[in-house]
Order: sequence, then C-alpha cells, then structure tokens
Amino acid sequence: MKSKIINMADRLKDKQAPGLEAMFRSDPLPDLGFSKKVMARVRRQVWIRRLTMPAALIIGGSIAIKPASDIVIAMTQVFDTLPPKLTDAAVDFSGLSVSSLPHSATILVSGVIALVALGLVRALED
Amino acid sequence: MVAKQDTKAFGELVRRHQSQIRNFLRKLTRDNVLADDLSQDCFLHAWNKIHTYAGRGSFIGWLLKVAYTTFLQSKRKSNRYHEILEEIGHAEDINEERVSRDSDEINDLDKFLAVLSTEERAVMILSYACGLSHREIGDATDMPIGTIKSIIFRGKEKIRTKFEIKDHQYG
Repeated sequence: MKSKIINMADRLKDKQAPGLEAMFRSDPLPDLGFSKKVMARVRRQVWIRRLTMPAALIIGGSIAIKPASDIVIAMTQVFDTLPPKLTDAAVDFSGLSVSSLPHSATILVSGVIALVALGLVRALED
Repeated sequence: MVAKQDTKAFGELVRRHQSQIRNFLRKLTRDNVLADDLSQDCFLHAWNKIHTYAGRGSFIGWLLKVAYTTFLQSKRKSNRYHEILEEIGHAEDINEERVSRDSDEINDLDKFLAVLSTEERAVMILSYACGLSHREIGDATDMPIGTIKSIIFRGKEKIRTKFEIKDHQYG
C-alpha cells in the first residue's frame, strides 16, 4: 500500500508515464515448467548440502584412520616402556587392571562413529 | 515459513513471481534464453539469501534486486569471456551469430531499449514495466533517489531525441 502511494507521487509529475508504461507493458508469461525446473535445482542443492558434511566426515575419517591408529599404537608402546611401578600406581589409583581398559582400535572406531553420527544429526537438522 | 527454508512455500513464491522476474530479465538482456537461465539463477540465489529479506518493502522489490544483481554478475563474467575471445581473435564471429539470431524478434520496445545504457535500461524497466517507486528502484539498484530520477530523465530524453517523439506520442 505504502509502495503504491509513493508510486503515485512519483508519477504525478511524470506526464509521459502512462505512455511509457503502455510501451513497456508485457503479457504475463506462462510458467511452462519453469517453476518445476527451479524447484528441482533447489531440492538438488538441499540434498547436496545435507550429504556434503557426512561424506566429508567419512572420507576424512577413512583417510585419518591409518595415521591416527599409528599414533595410538606408538603411544601404547611409550606406555609399555614406562617403569612398571609407575603404571601399577596409576592402575591402582583408578582401581582398574590394564586388561579391563578398552583396546586402542576400539576407542578410535568409536570416535569415528561418534563424529559421523554427529555430522548426520547436524545435516538432518539443517 | 520461507525464511525457515520451506521448499513448498518457496515453490509457491516462484510460481507467483516467475513472470515478473522473467519479463524484467528478458527486457534487460534482450535474449529470452539467457533471461530464463538468469531467472533460474536468481531464484536459486533468492533461496540461499532468503534469510536476508527483513520484511521491509515488497517481496517483489527484493526479488528484483536479486535479479538485477544476478544480471550484473553474469554481465561481468560475459565481459571477461569476450575479453578472452578478443585476445584470441574470435569475438567478431560470436557477435555476428548473436545479431543474426536476434534480428527476427526485434520490436519497437527493443529498438527503444537498444539506445539506452544497461543502467538506464534497468531503471526504466523497473519503473515503467515493474511499477516500482523511485525509492524501491534505489533499494534494488543501490543508487540514491536523485540518481534514479536523473537516469529516468536521461533515458526519456534519449528515446525522445533518437526517435523524434513528442510528449503526447509516447505509447
């Protein structure tokens, strides 16, 4: 409404406006599948966005799994070289035996699964 | 609804406004195929930037701003493309092909629009074909109202002098 009032004020001083408007006027264009094409592109973009994050996480995770497992193995080797008294003290303190601790590969796989799950949840929210 | 990325609601907006956007870009580019491609890009940009529409002013005004920006981006790319073609000596072939293809569909409005610069054409179309106010045109083109008024005046003068039209003969 406000726009129409401003428009009218613009036009009052413009004697040629009706003629120019008639010259510039054109018939409404039939849709002929235009909206369908646009919406197909929009939906494609939505799906690409949804899939990008999980795909990146899976690819990144699969690339990182080898060096990450190497790091974990190296750390366990460092842990093994520590004096037995020190490790016994740590185990006594926590009240756990070494055999009851989860294997390094289990921790790594759980981490990757957790990351992928988080990514999927975020993608679904988006 | 649309601001929350509701595809159904956005589909309704596309159906409602496609004609105005396509007509605006057809007049601006004077190439129906290019205009329809740009219209699709415009709606895709609108979908991505829908959260920037604050609800101030008309939605079609905002959509025409997106369409004009899409056109300018495409023009910049096309200019760069022509520069590259000129460097390798193919520009004349392309231009000749375009003129022969378009010459069949030239009407009076095309002749008028041809004498205007891109900026003048955009402002004149937004004013007389789309019916936007000077302020809305200013918002759509990022130009002050004074500049819009002088562009419209200049555009009308160009058409008048080029085609020897008197005031009462418009239309």
